[in-house]
Amino acid sequence: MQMTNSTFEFIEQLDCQTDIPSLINSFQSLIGKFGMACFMIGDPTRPKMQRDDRLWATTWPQDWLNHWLSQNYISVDPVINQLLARNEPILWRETRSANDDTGSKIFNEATEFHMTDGFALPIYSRDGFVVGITMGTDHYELGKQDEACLHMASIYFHAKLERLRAESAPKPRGPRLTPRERECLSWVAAGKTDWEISQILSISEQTAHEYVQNALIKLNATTRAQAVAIAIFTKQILA
Amino acid sequence: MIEVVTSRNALLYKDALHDMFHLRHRIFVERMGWEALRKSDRLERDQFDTDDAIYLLLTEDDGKVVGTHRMLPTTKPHLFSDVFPNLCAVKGVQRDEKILELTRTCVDEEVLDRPTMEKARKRLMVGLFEFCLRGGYEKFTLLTPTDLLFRYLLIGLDIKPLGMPVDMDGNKQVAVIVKVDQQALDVMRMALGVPETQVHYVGAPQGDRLVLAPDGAQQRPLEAAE
Repeated sequence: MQMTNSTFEFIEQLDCQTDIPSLINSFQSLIGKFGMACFMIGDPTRPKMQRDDRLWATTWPQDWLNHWLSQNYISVDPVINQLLARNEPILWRETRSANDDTGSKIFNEATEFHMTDGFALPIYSRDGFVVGITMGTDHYELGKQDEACLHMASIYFHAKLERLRAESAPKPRGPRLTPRERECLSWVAAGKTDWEISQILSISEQTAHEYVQNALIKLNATTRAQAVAIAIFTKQILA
Repeated sequence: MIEVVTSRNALLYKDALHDMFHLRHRIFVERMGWEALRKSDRLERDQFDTDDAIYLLLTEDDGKVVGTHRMLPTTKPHLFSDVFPNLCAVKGVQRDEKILELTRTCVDEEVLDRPTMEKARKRLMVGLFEFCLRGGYEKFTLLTPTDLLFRYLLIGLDIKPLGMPVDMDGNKQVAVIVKVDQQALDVMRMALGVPETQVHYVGAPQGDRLVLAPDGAQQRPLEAAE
């Protein structure tokens, strides 16, 4: 019951949270009561073009985080892969497999940072992507009720985090592009020609060309590269 | 539009109420398989469908009922007090004249095509906030799936759990209490894309609106659009 009360206290004080660092501290302090050392929340399924947006918040040890990111473990970590595949709460230990060399390597390396086991949850984001929260520990001893607490706390944490992230995002300036113009310009940013864009989006080459030209006019850009730069700077397409 | 039916104006809605109970039977018993509620007359009514119940009926232009909510006063017997108090074990069953319990929300999944059905769900949700706000109700309680809870949290509604999530009807559900104020109605309108007023008190004498409000609750003036 004590854990339940802590969880409800965490949820009830969220209304007073106005910045992301103190929100993270508050969640970290809650999961600490459950014996969890640290956590990571992110959106590993984001398309490559939106890769920068895949990791939202973490309290992982800095050295481990740097290593994990530099090795691109986000794509191969068995916990993340299993989370996406099974779409239900999982224990880290359930994802261990003797046949998975990369996975075993990651597990062994995590042990050096005192993470031998953990708990991971899938949650859906605003636009339908699966968001994952994973928490590590060196001694896992949670019961079903504790896991339910962490699940509910994670939902509230995630919703609050998304709201604060949205509030803190720089407000777009300048003329607004339509969704189709942004889509076409995103493909320009990826190096595609009008013809390639027309094939990708199943529209005519002429139409693709017009969308891009409209974007140029709206953004007051003389070249496509300039339009891409302005659109990225004004947060209308992703870098 | 959405119409509000209470024991005070039920006579005017005899056919609509019949259709609503039949809709509930088709959805909850015949589609969702709540066999305990099955009735030979295919009208789904339980011990809480009394004179105290308030129904919101979503109707099409020809008067056909395509969606409904049932609201129960929490000062009288309701599901959380009499059937599922365990779901509110942490914060306790909420009982207040200004708090309603929401149950039996459904739209006609057999008749409506998919876009119309989605729109109907959204109109019902917005109508719920309109009704509560106009009637002076400050909060409502309900059992909701956790993924819906997340979506409404993202929109910015003030929703607090009353107990721990439980497995029910194949997914995790949690008892929650939702705050109703003008801001909540505004964000619902914007997020769900339903700018128009949904609830209309036609068929009821003007004065009868007052009966919907609990004692001491502040009546809100009708919007100019009406």
